[in-house]
Amino acid sequence: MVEERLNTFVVIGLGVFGQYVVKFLSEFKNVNIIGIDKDENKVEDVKEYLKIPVVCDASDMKQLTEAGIDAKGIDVAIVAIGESVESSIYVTLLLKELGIKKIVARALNNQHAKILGKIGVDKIVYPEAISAEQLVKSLLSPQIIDEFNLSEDHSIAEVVSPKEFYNKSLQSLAVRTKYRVTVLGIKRKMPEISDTGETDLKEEIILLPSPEEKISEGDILIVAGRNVDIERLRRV
Amino acid sequence: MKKEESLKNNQGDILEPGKFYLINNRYDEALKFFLDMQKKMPNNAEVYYHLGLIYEAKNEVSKAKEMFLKAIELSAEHKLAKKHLDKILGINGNEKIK
Repeated sequence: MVEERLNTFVVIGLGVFGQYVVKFLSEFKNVNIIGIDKDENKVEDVKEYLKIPVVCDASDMKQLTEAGIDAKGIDVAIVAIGESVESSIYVTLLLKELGIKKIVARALNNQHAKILGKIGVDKIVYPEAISAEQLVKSLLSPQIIDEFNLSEDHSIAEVVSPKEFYNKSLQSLAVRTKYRVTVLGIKRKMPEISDTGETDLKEEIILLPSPEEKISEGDILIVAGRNVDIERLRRV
Repeated sequence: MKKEESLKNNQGDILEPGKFYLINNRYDEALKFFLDMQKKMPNNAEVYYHLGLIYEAKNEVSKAKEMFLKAIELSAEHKLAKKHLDKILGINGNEKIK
């Protein structure tokens, strides 16, 4: 039997963004998380999700190495520092010097992003920009629930099934020919009575549904296609 | 049987037809039933919880949120209403329904 390899992530800077990164990472199996911050309270806030909680100054090489941060032990380093551009750049430089295989850094502004790019960071993220984009999309396109960009023009998106689709099969709707999107899955909420007699909703995902699958009220379609076509489906 | 327990069971029986509609995916009939119950029992957390479930099942998320909040307001320990509200609000990293 092949044993699944553990991936070790270090998250440096445990402010709001860093804490969310830790929480999301902890939902995955085979992930070890080391969390570092100077502020003991911030480390304490997410301690339950961390394999190794560390209170130290990550801009000090000695303290970093003492915390076990080196090329051998870390697969991905995430620099989530949000208070100081200088600290973020300095910590990123130290991680590069330590030979960390993959570094993801949070940019606070365009200038910061440019410098991070020059240092050779593998991925730069703008959490504020992502949040703003998601907020605007959710306000302007309430029918699109979640979206994953495949390229500039193509996405996988969740779209609330239009009323016109209810009780009709995918085949009869001819979604692919009419709307030029592929239905990859259907999220369906199934009302149920629990063992304790309480009413609840169970969410089922039908992956790669058959052409005969009928759409029910409340279904969410997971579709792949060009953004313009997804948008067109949304407006049905 | 204690008086409160009897009352609770009795309320459960009263709501049974609405639950039947909901379980059988007859959302519009379930909604009509529970909206009627809301007028008759405006302080019953279970009525609001079920209205929340129906709206959630229909993807009418704002209304679902409103109903779950009301259920929690009436019964602070309503775990299922809290669970569904958390899901809608995207707590626990699942901010998918907006």
